[in-house]
Amino acid sequence: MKEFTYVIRDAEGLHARPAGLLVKLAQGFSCTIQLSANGKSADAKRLFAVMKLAAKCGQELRINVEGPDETAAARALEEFCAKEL
Amino acid sequence: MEIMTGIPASSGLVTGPVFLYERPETAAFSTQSARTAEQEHRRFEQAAEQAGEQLEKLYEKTVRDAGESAAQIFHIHKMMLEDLDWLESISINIYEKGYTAEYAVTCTATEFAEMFSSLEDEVMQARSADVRDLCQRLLAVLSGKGAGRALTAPAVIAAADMLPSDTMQLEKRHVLAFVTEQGSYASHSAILARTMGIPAVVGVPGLMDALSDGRTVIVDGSRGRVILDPDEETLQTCEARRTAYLKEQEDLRAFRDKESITRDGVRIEVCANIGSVADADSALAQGADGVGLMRSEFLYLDAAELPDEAAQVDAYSQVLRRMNGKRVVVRTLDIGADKVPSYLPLPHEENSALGCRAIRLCFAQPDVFRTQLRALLRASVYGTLAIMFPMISKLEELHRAKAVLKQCQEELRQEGIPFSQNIEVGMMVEVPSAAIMSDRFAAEVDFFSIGTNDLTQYTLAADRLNEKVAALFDYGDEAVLRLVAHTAKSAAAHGIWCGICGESAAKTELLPFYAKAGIRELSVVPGKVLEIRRAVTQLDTTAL
Repeated sequence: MKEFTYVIRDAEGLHARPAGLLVKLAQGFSCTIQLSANGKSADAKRLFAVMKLAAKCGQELRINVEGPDETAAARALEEFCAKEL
Repeated sequence: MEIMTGIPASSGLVTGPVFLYERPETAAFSTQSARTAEQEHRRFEQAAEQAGEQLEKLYEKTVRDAGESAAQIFHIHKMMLEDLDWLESISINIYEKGYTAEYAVTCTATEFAEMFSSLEDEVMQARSADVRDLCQRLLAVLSGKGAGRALTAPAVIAAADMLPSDTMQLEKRHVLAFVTEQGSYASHSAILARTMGIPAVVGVPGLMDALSDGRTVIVDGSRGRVILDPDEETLQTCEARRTAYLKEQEDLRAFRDKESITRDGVRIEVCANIGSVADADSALAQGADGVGLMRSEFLYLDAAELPDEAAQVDAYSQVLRRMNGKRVVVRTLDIGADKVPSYLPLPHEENSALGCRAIRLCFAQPDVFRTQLRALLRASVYGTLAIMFPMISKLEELHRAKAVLKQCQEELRQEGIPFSQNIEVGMMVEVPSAAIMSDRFAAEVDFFSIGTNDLTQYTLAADRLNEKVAALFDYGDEAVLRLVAHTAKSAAAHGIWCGICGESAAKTELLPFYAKAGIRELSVVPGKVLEIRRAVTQLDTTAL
């Protein structure tokens, strides 16, 4: 299992557009990807669940990845966060 | 001729025929299915597939019309359509409850839309419109009805409200303006209109009853007016104003990136007054030097319950981030008995303008005040914050407000929560006593911002909303101007800055007086920033 945290810098938080991109990215991996923020957690492959987190600017996003391609997934997600959030 | 008024959502002035936008019709449907669950589910799957194809086309069209970022929303809709939680919920409605595809989709969409509406986050709340939009699309496909009427010639689009796909289905080059009966400054059509640079008036009561197809309307997006069947004279005036407006916009654009400096080199900052997080974008778009007045009331008046510290930190930090280092002056809560949120019961007052309002109310509700100050301090790390206390009339009040602020700083320090060490603390000068005593106040604050609306009202004892005394209410009255000049002089003597955030800051005829008196900041509505900057650059204070 791999885990990392990221503090959201985008003023609007994890809003629809980055949420959509993140879900699309997550769906490309076979491992399970769990997002947590705000005391809630969500399957990163499910758009409504990710949006429901309503993770905001300044909040910490915790990402857990587990499965065969977890290393690649974690790397891709970290890059994504730094670029889009 | 009929004049209707709504919320000015996007400026500009245009005349054109009405095009009543009606959402593609959906047929009535029953709730319990007469088909087998498998048949019903197949109907849903086919509809979803067709809806997906529509969304793909709509995405491509929107990329061409409005660009990639405006089009993104339809990819999001498509992903919603394929979301597992969404599909599971619909399957349960069909297989376990025996619903028709139509009813299953409606129930799931309602549930999901309500979930978004219940979130505190303003950005996420708006997603409920996307879910309703998606539901509408599926129902239209299921009922086999085609798309709505096509827009083939330039027209003013009128609707009860508009969902994202409504607006993008329209041929953009034919859309002259949007007018809607519902909606707010932040609703989808309002944002789109501002992006497209076309006028919009939203939240017009009685609009749909009054309008019909093809009738001529004038849409005045700057004043929030919709004029139905204008007479010849009004049409001509409108045309002349439109020509002048377009030329003026062109002229003003040149001042967006100019510095706010007079001919003789005096810097007079031109900032924006804002009343919401979204307004910060308008302030930036107009090239404001900062935010001279952020009214924090919206956080309280738009909410169902007292906004907690976290919600406030969120709003303030969003504005600070957007302003990207430019100063943001936040005025602490300024409400009185005339305007109270339901969760904050205040006794009725005979004369609320002279009653327990603004800073007085904050002292009476110490928890409300402390929560706001703590939130402001916590947000201060995200930009350049200044805190301003409203309606200070006596030195003791300023001392008390500063003591509460100091106490909050101490608390945060002990809790190990960071905050900026460079927060300017200032006060509104809007009560005549504060202006008269400004030489004493100036020693204890970092800045003054003169609230000329209240200063004028209190100095001349003339209610500015009472038409019968409208003639008395005058920003240029000598008594008011003397108070302004005295305040600016006191500020200069103590080396602090003095600005004006009342409406008179946007009155170019008063600018020479203000500049000469030593006013070094003017804060106006975002739409006036460029006009005032132009006036500043044309001024020569040595010639005054």
